[in-house]
Amino acid sequence: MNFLDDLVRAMPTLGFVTLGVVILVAAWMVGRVRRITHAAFFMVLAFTGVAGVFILLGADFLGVTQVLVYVGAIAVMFLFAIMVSDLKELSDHPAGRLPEAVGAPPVSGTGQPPARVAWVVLAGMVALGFAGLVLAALWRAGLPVVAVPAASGPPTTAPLGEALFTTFLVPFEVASVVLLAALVGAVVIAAREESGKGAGS
Amino acid sequence: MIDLSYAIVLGVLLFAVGLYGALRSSNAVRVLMCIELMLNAVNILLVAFARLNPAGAVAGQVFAIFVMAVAAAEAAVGLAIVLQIVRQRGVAEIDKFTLLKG
Repeated sequence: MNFLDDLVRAMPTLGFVTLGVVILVAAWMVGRVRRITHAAFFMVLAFTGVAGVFILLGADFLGVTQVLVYVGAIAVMFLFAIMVSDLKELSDHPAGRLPEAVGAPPVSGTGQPPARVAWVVLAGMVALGFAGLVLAALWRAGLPVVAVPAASGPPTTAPLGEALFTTFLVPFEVASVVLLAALVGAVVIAAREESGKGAGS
Repeated sequence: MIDLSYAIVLGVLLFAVGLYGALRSSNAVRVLMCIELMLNAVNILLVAFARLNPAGAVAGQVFAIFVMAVAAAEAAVGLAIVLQIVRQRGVAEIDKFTLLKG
């Protein structure tokens, strides 16, 4: 019985750590997996995990919004863009496809030019250095070891709506204008080709 | 009960993984995906730090909502631009996007 109580008490932490591992592995795969479509689906997995993290942190409305906006809209938009752009091999390993890569001899079995390998190593060093720097700074400042109750209390929808329409009313309206501008801009940019081509040629 | 430091470490690590992916990829669509992951990491940190102050929890979540709105706008415009370049040049490698180079 005692063990069961401990297990129930440790459940949120266990869920959080599991979600974190899933998110990090999925995010890693987004950068590494060969096919861009698979990367998009790994991105969906990471977004869903982040929604779970939001709900565990007590931000239930934000978790639902995350699923709606990211999984429901942004990920679908990425998949549509991949589908419409119709490049069969939108992968990060274009060796053998680009004209200059055909003539170049393969380097040490990786099939990538040495400048590219150096660039990847540099990217890894930058990311590692960033994480190390921030974590070290947080460690020195004292990581906030505050235990918060997981996903308890009343739903946050009502206070969020109240804040959005009182304190943050002007930013809210500006955000809607930004979204409208992005909508119109995306349509104009993406649809320019037909008219431009018809007029140009 | 959840230790908030877990959430903060997760946010920092997710940001670093997204940064690594965005820097190492040569595909423009993949770079945009990794930028979305980095914005997600920022949202996690916003929510986690907002939980430190019980009175400010709502403000942090409102900021996260604004970040989501800007991320959606950025993804829409960015994907439209990438789509247009891919249509005109036939490649999605950002090294080949040299339209402004003259």
